[in-house]
Amino acid sequence: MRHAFTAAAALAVFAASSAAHALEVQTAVSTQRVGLGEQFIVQLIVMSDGQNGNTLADVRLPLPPGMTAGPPSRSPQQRVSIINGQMTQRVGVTLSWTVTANKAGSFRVGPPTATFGGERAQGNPIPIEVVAGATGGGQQRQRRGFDPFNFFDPFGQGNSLFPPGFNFKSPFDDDPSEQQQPEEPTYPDELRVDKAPDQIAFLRATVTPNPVVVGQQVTLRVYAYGGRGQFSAESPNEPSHADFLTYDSGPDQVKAYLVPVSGIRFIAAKLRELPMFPLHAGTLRAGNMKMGFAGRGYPPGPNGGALSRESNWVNVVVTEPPLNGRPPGYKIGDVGEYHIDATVEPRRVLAGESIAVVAKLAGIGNVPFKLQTPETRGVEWLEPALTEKMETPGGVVQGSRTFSYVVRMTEPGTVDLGEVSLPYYDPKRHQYAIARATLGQIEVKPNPNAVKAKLEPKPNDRLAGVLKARDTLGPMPAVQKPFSDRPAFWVALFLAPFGVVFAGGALSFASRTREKLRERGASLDAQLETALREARELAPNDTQGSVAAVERALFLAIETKLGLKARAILKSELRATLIERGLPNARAEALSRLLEDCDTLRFVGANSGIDPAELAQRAAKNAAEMRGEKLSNPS
Amino acid sequence: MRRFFVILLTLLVALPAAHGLAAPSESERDFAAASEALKRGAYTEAIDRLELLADRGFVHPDASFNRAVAYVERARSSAASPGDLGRAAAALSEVLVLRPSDEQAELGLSRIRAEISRRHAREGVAPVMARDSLGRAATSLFDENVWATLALAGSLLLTVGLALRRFVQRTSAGLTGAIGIGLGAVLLLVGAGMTAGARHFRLSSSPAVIVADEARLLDETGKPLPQRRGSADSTSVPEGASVYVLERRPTLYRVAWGSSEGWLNPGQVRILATR
Repeated sequence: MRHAFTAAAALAVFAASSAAHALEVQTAVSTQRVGLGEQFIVQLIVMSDGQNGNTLADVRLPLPPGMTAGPPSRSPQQRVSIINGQMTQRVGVTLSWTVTANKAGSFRVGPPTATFGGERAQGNPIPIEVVAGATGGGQQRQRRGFDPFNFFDPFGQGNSLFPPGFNFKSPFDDDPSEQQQPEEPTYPDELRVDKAPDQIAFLRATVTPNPVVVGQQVTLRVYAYGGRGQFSAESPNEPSHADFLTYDSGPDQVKAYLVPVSGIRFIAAKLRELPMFPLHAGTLRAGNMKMGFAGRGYPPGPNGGALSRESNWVNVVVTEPPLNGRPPGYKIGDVGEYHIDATVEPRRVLAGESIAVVAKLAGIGNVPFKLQTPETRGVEWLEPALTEKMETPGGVVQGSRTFSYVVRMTEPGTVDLGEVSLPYYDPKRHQYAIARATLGQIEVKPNPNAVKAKLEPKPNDRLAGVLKARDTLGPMPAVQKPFSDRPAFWVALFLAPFGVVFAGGALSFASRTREKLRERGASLDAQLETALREARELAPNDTQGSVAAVERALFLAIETKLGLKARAILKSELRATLIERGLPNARAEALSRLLEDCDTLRFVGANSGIDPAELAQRAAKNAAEMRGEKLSNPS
Repeated sequence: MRRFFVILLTLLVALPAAHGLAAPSESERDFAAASEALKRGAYTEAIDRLELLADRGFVHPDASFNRAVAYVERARSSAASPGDLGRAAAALSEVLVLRPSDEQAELGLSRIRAEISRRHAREGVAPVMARDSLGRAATSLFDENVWATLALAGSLLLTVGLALRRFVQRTSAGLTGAIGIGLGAVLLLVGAGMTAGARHFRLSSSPAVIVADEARLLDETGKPLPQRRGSADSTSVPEGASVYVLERRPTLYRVAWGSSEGWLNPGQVRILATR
């Protein structure tokens, strides 16, 4: 039955409606010849630019007597296309009626109508011939038995992912004549998985090739794996592919295979094969298809529905084709392998008349929407009418676009039209190429009526003569690098004033330090240090000087420690006085002896046996030790 | 031996110079080819060649100027494409970025913008020129280096003033120093602030021009921004308007247009080439 349906679908009638000019309306029928009691599908596809919203109302399919139909199913549509580098998006809906033919004869079904976004969309009426007996063209009312892949029925419930034209054959169909068992172990290599991410069921998405250039075809494939026996798909959604232009394509026949993964026999099948064209450079994401697995072996999901699984995301690395070797006029996205054939007629015209140039661009890839036309004086190319025929045999997008130009010849003479061309990037050869078609010459005879048109003023002549092209490249203006990009600028900006402030501060600091040092130099400690130093320095050569320095040091040490000016005290009374002031006996004795030794050395000289250096050393030692000594309570 | 070295040295110096004189660079050849296409009225070919030149990173005010000429001429022809005048405005804006003293480019840009405004006047589209934000307007009063020079002068004045106050004991020097400190500090602060501001705007945004018929500002998710009630249309940026690109994503650019901010499709914006 599915074969028959597919064949019928291929005969679908598509027609654009002229009633709703802002909408794009197509009518389709699965077959135009059905058997009595069989069903057929009528589709109304409405697309718009979405500016008026996408509300749907007043859906009707007028049926002749002898035919019945249920309410239509609705399937939202979205289409993205790039024309001349501009991305446009269209939204719409597909309405599908399942019509049952209950009476033999020739009938006229429709036209189907609907109001979409406030505008009336009307399809075309469809002639249907209903014959007695089965034709194989329609659908039977009931399905036969359990089919794990019944979601692939393109018109079954109207919510299919797939367009008409596919023949999805299940290996689990219970028709004894067609029954197949899952094939093992010969399964396609694309289904091979080293490790199952889930032991019950999982979806897997892949994309090839990767990386690609903008406009090069990649194919997104989504595979379903069920580890608990046969399953049917519940509410599968479309994989995400926001950054890609997609073409509808699917496997000709969905086949299930037994694929052993990690010791578990999974029933695996390819769900979706989607040719896509990246719209821009970057790391683009696709995938994330969701689907419910329903079957005896599959537990229900958390919400009670079928076990839901979603595929992984895949990242596609997209770059722009290389700049090296890029021909002028190349548009990003023109990628593939193309050739152009062109016809021109007539070859002889009067000036002011037009000729027709039909150029057919064909090849592999997302065939571009625009050709480069030659620019010749006296030749005006009007916007072309475009027809296309795109296919995806074997999942490879290819086809042709035919550009029908009206070319106005305004000046008499023999005009060489030149050539129409398309620069494109060939990803297989990794280089640019140009598809060309030479158009030949046109003989244009003078026409007095054409002069009149030539004299008509142009509407936007305000810009005439405003700019005059420059023949040569002038000197390049010198580029002054911004000062602020140089760290030295910021340093210089603040260093100078801060430098003055810093210098002033430093000078003040130095001045204060000097003052402090001066004050410090006048203190008793400083004098003591000076005296001791002098004593040491003078000892080898100047005994008298050294002795005087030692004496001075001792008196300063006593004054520092006790606040007593000892020079005014008789040396014979000094010891007692020091003890009285709290100095330890031993220290008082030592100091007295030192002073006596000083007198001895002064008056007797070297014969006294006292070494001036040793004397200075003892004085320093006593002064240092005395500084840390505690005083007893002075009496 | 010595003679050999002299000859070798002469060859090393002379050959590259001779090569430079004899053979124009690839960019120069492409420019010449584009100019020749312009002369014979092949505007699309000229545009293709000059755009390719720009794609290759060749930046020159005269190449940008001729690109503007090609777009204007195509806009005047029967082969006009939407956005041609916007692209011409972008090319001339680029000329003025590269060579601010180009009077012909300045005149041409004003004429093109006037023509765009005239064409859109009936549709009630916002004027092509929009007032910049206060900060950007203030910093763009002078060139960044002028602000920097002002800051340097302020720094010098402040330094002299401080030095006079600190190191010279005479009363007259002290007064002069005080004036120098006051004036120098103001100049330094204003100049340095404006320099820093101009530098920030230069590094954080790129000047660009709208090259679509009209560009509707979007939010981050790509939905059109709502129109403010009771105000002029501040969400539709007209063709040829100058904007600043603040952030670039693969599918959207964040732009500042006057005091408005929003997102635009990259195809609607042409970022100006700078050196």
